[in-house]
Amino acid sequence: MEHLKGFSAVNLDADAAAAALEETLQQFGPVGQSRLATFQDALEYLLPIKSFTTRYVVMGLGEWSILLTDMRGANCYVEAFAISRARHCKAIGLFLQQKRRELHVFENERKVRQVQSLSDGNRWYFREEGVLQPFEDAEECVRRKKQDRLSAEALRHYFQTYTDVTIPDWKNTSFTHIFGLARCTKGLRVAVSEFETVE
Amino acid sequence: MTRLFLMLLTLLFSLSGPAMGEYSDFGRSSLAAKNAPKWGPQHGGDTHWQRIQQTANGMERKGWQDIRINRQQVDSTGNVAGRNRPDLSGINPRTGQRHNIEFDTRASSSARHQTTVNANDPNARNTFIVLP
Repeated sequence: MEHLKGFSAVNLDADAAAAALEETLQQFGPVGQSRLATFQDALEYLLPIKSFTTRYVVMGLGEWSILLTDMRGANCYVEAFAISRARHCKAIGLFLQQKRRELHVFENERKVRQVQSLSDGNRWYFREEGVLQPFEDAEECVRRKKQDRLSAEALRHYFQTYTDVTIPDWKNTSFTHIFGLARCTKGLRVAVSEFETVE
Repeated sequence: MTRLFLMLLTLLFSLSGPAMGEYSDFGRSSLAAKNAPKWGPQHGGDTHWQRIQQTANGMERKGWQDIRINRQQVDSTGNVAGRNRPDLSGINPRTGQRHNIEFDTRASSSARHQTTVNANDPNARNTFIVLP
């Protein structure tokens, strides 16, 4: 499922990460929280994918937690950044799609690295900010063709090196705890659209 | 004499660090001490780029969604709204509305952007700023 190729992770266990995200979401109103047993439950909680974020899942992988949202084209990196600032922890966001590859890294309450390599209409878009991190391969950002920069393979390697956690293959990964969080949508002035689910 | 000059140069660089960081959201990691901060590619002049970066960083800190810098204009559902590329765009997390922001140094360019961006997506909230 293409949507699962965009996610973030924070250096907190699932209970702490869910509590921090809940605090962040309370600015929009009451937050609904559910405990989910399996990844399949988490997927059913999130789907269908929508035009704007209404729900999140937080899935524990030891000292790290994965964040997913139900918004199309979103990987929770701003939420991971908010948690990182609130709890003084590391955070990382990724997109591993063929036409959208991104890296976002947050430490010490700051954004330390952001790299985007993606298709933008009739051109390929590449942008990088911050200094090259110790886990990065410098060559990934200087290849002549922009579309060859920041490969999905490199991103997988970066994630594993940075977190010491392998990117989950979702259905076969054993998560310690899974939480579902629903934010309040009362203040929205735009109707939220739902998209058809494609495996 | 050479050693003294080098020491003064080192001191100058170490003092300039916080000043450089003041305009950005990027901290100095351990590697940053070895590598100069890398910015870009810059879009427009220095002042223009600095305003884009500052505003984008502020939006990230306030939880804005789908923040785009100099990318194809899209509407609140993410569908392409036109070939124009706003300097900055994002979705307000409180309202779900798409905001487009254009920074220009000339009033005539700003007026032209205003016509295009508004026509592409009349439902978006669009802001046009003329930089001094």
